Order: sequence, then C-alpha cells, then structure tokens
Amino acid sequence: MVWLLRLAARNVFRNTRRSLLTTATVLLGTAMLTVALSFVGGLLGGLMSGVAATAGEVRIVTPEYELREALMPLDANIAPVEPVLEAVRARGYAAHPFLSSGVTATVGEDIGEVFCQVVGSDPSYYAEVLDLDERLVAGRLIEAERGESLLGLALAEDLGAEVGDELVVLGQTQDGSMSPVKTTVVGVVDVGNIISNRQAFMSLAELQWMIDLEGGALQVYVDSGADIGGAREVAQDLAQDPALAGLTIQAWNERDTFRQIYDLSRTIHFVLAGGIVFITALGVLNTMMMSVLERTGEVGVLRAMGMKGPSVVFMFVVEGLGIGLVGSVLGLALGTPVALYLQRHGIEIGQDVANKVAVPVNSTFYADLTPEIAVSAFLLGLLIAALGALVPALRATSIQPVDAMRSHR
Amino acid sequence: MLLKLDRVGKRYPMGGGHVDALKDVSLEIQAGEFLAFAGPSGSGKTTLLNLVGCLDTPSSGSIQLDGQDLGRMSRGQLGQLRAARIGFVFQSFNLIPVLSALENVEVALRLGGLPADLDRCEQALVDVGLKEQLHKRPNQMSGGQQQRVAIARALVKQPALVIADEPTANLDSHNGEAVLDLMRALNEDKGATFLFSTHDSIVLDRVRRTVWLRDGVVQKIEP
Repeated sequence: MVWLLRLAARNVFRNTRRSLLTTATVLLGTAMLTVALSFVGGLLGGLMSGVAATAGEVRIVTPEYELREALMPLDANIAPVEPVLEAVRARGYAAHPFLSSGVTATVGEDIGEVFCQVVGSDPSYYAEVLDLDERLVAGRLIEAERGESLLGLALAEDLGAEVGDELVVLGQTQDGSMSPVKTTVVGVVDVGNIISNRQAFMSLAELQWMIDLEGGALQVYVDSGADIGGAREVAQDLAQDPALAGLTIQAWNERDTFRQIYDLSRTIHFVLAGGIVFITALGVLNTMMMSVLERTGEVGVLRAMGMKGPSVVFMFVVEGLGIGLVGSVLGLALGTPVALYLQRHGIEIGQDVANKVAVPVNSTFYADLTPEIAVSAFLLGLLIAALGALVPALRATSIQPVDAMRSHR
Repeated sequence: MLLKLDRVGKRYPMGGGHVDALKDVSLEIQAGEFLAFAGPSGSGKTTLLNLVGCLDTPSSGSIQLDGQDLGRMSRGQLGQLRAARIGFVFQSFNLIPVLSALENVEVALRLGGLPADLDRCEQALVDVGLKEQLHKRPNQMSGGQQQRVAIARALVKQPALVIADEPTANLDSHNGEAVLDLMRALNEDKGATFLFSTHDSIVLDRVRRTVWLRDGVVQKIEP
C-alpha cells in the first residue's frame, strides 16, 4: 500500500503542465465555492435575520390565530396582552404587542380606495426594531397616544399624501363591523422593502380602538437581544412560564414561512455548491482521462504483472487527491481574502432595488465567511478532485493486459 | 511438459460476423525452451502469445500450463497465475517512468506477492548488465538499457515462463542482438522458458525452435 502511495505521489509530478492545469481547476473551484457560499450564506443569513427581527425572533399567538393566520383573524387575539408582556419581560426579554389589519385608506377630500395594511405597536418596536427614526423621509415619529400615523413611502406616493394630511382608514372590528379611523399623517418612512413601505403605522391604542380590542393584541414579538440562532432556546424558556400556558410560542425558524426560506437557503447552497463541484470536476476528469489514456500500456503491464482493479483505482484517485489537496489549499488561500473583502465592504445593490424586494433587506449585500464554509469549500475541493479522478480511474480498470501488447503499435 | 495446446482456436467478433485469429492450434512446449512464434502480420502469433501468457482465453480447445487447464480458471485465478509464474517483456518496454530501474524491478516482486527484496532486484539488474544504472529512471537510459530493465523485471520473480512480444522491434540491430544474446544466456543459465512473438531475423536466428503461423494455422515447426 505504501509503495502504491509513493507511486501515486510521484505520478503527480510526472506531467507538470497537466498537473498544474488540474491544480488550477481545483483551485478555481475551491475559490469559487469559498466566495459563493460565503456570499449566499451572508445574503440569506442577513435576509433571515432581517425578517426574523421585524417579525419577532420568537412570537406568541393564540393557537386559533396560528391555525387561521392567512385569514388575519382579528377575533383570535390575546386579551388582555399586558400579563403576557410582563411575563416575557420578567424573563429578561424585550416584548412588543403587535396588531395589523387590512384596510382601505383615503387622504383629503377625494374618495380614493387604496388597499393597504395598517400596523399598530408600541413606540419601542418602531424605534428599536424597525429603526423608523433612522428611516424618516419626512416629518417625525408618532408621539401622541391617538390620532397620529406614519406612512410607508410607497403608500404615501399611492395616496398622494404629505405630512399634515388627514388619513382616513376604513377597517373592521373583530366582530366584522365597519370601523373608520381618522389620523393625521405626522411622518413618511422608507422602511427598505416593498411590503413595509406599503403599510401605515399607528399606535397600539389606535388599532385597539379600530378593532375594538381594548388591551389586546394579535401577536407578541419577543426579542432576546442575542443572535437569532438561539431563538429555539428562548422559545423553550418561555414555554416553561405558567403565565404563557395555552398560548403558542414559536421561534422564527419554527414558522412555516421562515422554514420555507430556510429550506430555500439550503437548496440554493446545495445547487450552487453542486453546480460548481460538477463543472470543475468535469475539468479535472478531462485532464485525468488524458493521463489514463496516455498510460494505457503502462497500466496494461501492471495488470499483466498482477495489479488488481481496486489498486488501479486507488493509484489514480490518490494521484487526483494529491493534486486536489494542493488545489484546495491554494483555492482557499485565494477565495478567503475575496470573501473577507465582501464580508467587510459588501456589494451595493442600491436602495431603489432594495425597496422593490418583498422582504426587509439592506441595500448592501455582505458575505459571511464562517469556519464551516471554509472547511466545506476545502472538502468540496477534495471532492472535485476525487470525483474528477474516479471516472478515469474506473476507466483504467478496464485496461486489460493485452492492451499493453497493442500499445505503441 | 510446461505447456500443452490442444486444438486451440480464438475467434473475435468483427462487424456483423467474426474472424478466426487462430484455428485448431496444437502444440507442446517443454520447460527451458527458447521458442518463437513467427509469421506475417495477422498470422495469429501475438494472439497465440496472449493465450499462453494467460492474457486472454481461447474460444475453443484447451491450454494446460504445468498440467493446469487455463480454460477452467476464472479471470482472477489467471491473474494470480500470471503474477506468480509468468514474466512479460514488451515491444515498447512499458517501464514506469517515475520509478528508477531498481524500483521498476521491485514492482514485479510486490505485484507477484513476494517480499520486496532489494538485493534480489539489484542482482536481477546486475544479471542483465545494468550494475551502474540501478537508480536511473527510464528517460535517462537508452532503448537497449530500458529493455534490459524490462527483462530483469520479468525474471526477478523467477517465473516458469517469459513472454516476449516483439522485444527487438524498438531497438537498433546492435541493441537487438545484445538483448537477444542476453536472453539466450539467461535461458541457458537460469533455465527460464522464453516464448517470443516476432518476425525479426535477429530473434529467429537465435531461437532453438520456431513455430510458423499463417492465417491462424500452424504451417510448420522448425526444426
């Protein structure tokens, strides 16, 4: 076995130009994997963090609300919500009551019907979670307990609304009765994504009045202040609280919508990595196949002298892995600075583009190079070499001793 | 008797039909012979060499090596028999270019399942006149020297039979004669059986017996 390893190692240096070409292929594949996986990981991770932050790292709802969530059931609420908020805060987490409802909105004397969603929450949710104070385009944040509203940029444009205008929204109570609300537009915000920019933001009390839900909320958003990766632990901790018994407590990644994003993220990773591995492995296969064909006579002699098929495969795959090892290390060395640059500086897509995306995203996409990604890229580099060498190696096992007789004839 | 061929035939598929490369060949070869299969291209001499060297199996008839019927052996058993008892010398040498002469000879012992005895390998190279070339690689040696390494590689495991396919075809006449004289000396000194496939007069002048083939049929055996 050791002598076969020695032979395979020497074969690496047999045709320097071809080995360099194979090394360059693996190098390119590993570097592409490092950069691409870091970038996609950062992009989707940032996306999920953004969505999870705005929609609650953990949320608390009634079981009925979870069942009929798509219908936005106003009667499946938590009332009163204050004991729930207190229980969550007692465990050291931030808690925000949340209400939302579909309405038609009108500004001024003209009767226009613009369908939109109106959101009601406490000032800390708007300031600390949505960062609306930094996203003001005009005016100010809501200060009064009732009678004031903020408009998302797209909604303000649709309505032709400006700061100081009177906004009338026509919603409904939890029992289905029509319920109008009149407020003054005190500010316009650019939240950074098309869904939030088509929303109106009001105080919790305003929405509670509209829905006829005094002291209640549809959801409670919980924010631990830590990494969203620990959301399940936070949810498990909250589930032990007797004050929250009977309510559904869900980490963001336990909710269907986010699970779909998470699954999509994994699929994109898999397809991307698989595509790069496949294409670069074809390059390795090409050069290794040339190597096998060139050595037909030699392999034939080894077979004639008693070398068995598995030993032939071993010899070529080890040769490929030797080249792959060098290529992977160099590929990682090349890809890491690029990924780190993208992690630091990112790629600017522009606010206009970000505003058209249906989920909260930054206008700059950043890479996220983790140790797991670096190790994955390195191992996939080796896989590229192994896969690329395997097919030619199997081809080599089909070389029969008589081929040595016929070679060079 | 080392080899006995009884009505051996070999048929290859070709196009929609087939071609008979060998037809009803019967032969007996004794241990220690120095024998050539000769004839024009397409006469079946290489096919016959492949069959007696356990590199291929006959379509009809039987071949016995030391009383063992090769036709009853699996491909794996034939491989083991080859590794243990048969040495090969090829027209194009087919040495492993990344290994030295000594290491090329060592490979034959390892693949033959024998201990990698470097003294034995060195002696095999000394026997073929390459005492000074032990650590040279094939590209540092002449064609004649490379063929000598191939001969040492074939003989180091002391095989019952050495198969040599056109061993002088890639050598000039001087080197061809030297290599053949060496083989003849090794045949006489060590008693190894040599079977050649050739149409080279250098070989034909030195073998003790020649089996002439034409169109897959034995035409005559000299003497």
